[in-house]
Amino acid sequence: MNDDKDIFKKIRELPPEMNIEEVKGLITGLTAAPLPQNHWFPNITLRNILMITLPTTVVFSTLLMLFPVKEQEKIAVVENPTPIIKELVVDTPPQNQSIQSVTRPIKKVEKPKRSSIVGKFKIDTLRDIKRMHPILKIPRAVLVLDIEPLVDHTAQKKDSVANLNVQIGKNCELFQGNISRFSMYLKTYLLEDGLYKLKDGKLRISFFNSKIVINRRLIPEKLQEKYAIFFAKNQIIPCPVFIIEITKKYIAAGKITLNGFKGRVEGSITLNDLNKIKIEDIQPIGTIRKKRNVEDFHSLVLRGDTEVHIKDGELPSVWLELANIEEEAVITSVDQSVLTIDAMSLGHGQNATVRVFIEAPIYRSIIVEDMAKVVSKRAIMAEDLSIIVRHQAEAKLEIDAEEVTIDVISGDLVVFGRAGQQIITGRPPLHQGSFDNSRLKVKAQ
Amino acid sequence: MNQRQKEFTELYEKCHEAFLRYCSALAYGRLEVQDLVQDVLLSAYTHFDAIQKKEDLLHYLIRAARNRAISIRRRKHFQTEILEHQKERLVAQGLSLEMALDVQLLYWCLDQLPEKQGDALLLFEISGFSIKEIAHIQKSKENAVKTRLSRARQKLKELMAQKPNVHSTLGILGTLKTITL
Repeated sequence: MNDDKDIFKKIRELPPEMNIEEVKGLITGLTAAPLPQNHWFPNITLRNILMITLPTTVVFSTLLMLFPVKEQEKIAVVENPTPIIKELVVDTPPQNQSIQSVTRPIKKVEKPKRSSIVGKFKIDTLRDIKRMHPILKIPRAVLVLDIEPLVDHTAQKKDSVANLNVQIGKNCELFQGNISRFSMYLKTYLLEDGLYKLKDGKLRISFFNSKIVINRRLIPEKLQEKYAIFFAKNQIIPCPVFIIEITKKYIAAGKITLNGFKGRVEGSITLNDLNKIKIEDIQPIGTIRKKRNVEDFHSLVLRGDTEVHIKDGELPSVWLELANIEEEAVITSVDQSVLTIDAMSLGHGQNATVRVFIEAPIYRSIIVEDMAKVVSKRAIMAEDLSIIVRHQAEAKLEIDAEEVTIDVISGDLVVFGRAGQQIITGRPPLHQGSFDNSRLKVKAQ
Repeated sequence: MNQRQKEFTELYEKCHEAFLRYCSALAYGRLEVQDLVQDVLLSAYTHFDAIQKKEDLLHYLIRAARNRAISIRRRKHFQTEILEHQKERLVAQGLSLEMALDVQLLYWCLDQLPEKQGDALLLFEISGFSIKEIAHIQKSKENAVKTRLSRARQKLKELMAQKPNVHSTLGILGTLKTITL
């Protein structure tokens, strides 16, 4: 075999396979020659088509398999003719269909059918909401629920609601109006008054002492009348167990009963969430102070689970400080100059507290009963004072009196101050110490 | 022949030999040299106006021939008829049968080399281009071309030594053909 250098040398020495004349002949005939073969059209072959389409199909199929299209994305989005609604989803709205007395509707609410959802509104500005009137005339499917309880309600909740229902539950009718229209108007007013912001999300309206509570906060007094008229126009009676809850997903209006929520719902909601709402959850956060107008009095009868603070004052007055309890739950009445304070007849929740602040120029008799507690921060001026303690009541009083009669049947009494004459009667009490300028502790056996 | 053809022909005459030798090496065993030359000339003549440096027509022809050969290599394998025909031409040009077989083997080994290495060796050894010109054609640096040439020669020697079967096969075929003739 020859070396490669020799082979290269031999190749170089070889004459070209075509001489220049042949090439010139080719060049002369080039004008009539067809287009070169690298034109794009002949390159489209079945092989090229398959090479492009097959990988594309495989890639898209894999993507669809890995990232399936969500059900919500398949819902047709219908543009609303009016510019107010940015997004309106309409799925077979049943015209004027009202389902009443639905038995065991829990499953329907847990998994609401798309057909029950009539519209989803996305409102951009307050001005847009005002234009909503024509839209609100869209017929809607309304589901009236008579809900069986899903959760085991605690005895505490029953106690808290039961008495309220006895007293005022009869007047708490179900909301009969157009719930969507009502909620839209309400939102508009609340936004205007700065009582609600769109970013808040949930809007819970309830009543406390006939006053309107938004998200557990009492709205200012100057706006109460405005909203009271609005609610009256919509045939909503202020009721302590009535609740309206508006979120992006649903609107619920009804009342809290022993068996849970009872009312109307539009939209998608888990009933357990509504049934879990307690009466304490709709009452305003914190305490309220209110003055009671009473006639002149010189004697006190204190009953119920109350904490009473008494002191001397120029004019008789009674202030209530209530927390998590209706104002009506505390009774203040004067009969023959005897002020009776009773907070026992209406049971209230565990967190409910009642504090009463009493001022009077003179005290003649103080009767403390039940679970009441009475305290005096300063010495009570009196000529002839009678103190009676019964049941599980407690009293801690500072007295400056000429004559004091103490009758402790049961309960605890601590008295100190000055007394010209002291008479201790009743069942054999346990005396500790004396009363003159020292502490007298009386504890009934 | 119009003015354009005259201008093209004048420029082509300067690069005829180098271009033909290059085309002969590229087309070996796969297609007829005339076909390759015709395709490349047609392409060059069509785009003649677009060639900015007319004096670099040879570089354009080389690149066009190489691209055309690459696309043909992807579609076609060695064809026995073409091989035999080209071997006959080599013998007719005065080469001994053994040398003709060695030339065939050399072209086969050049085809086995990496693309740029084989191309550089072909341009340098057969077409007679300088390293600078090869660097210009391959758009590389001269040092890179030198390296390619060195590696190509080394691999070529290995291939020439490692392919006795192919050599013998081609030789047998050639011998048989000669006997037949």
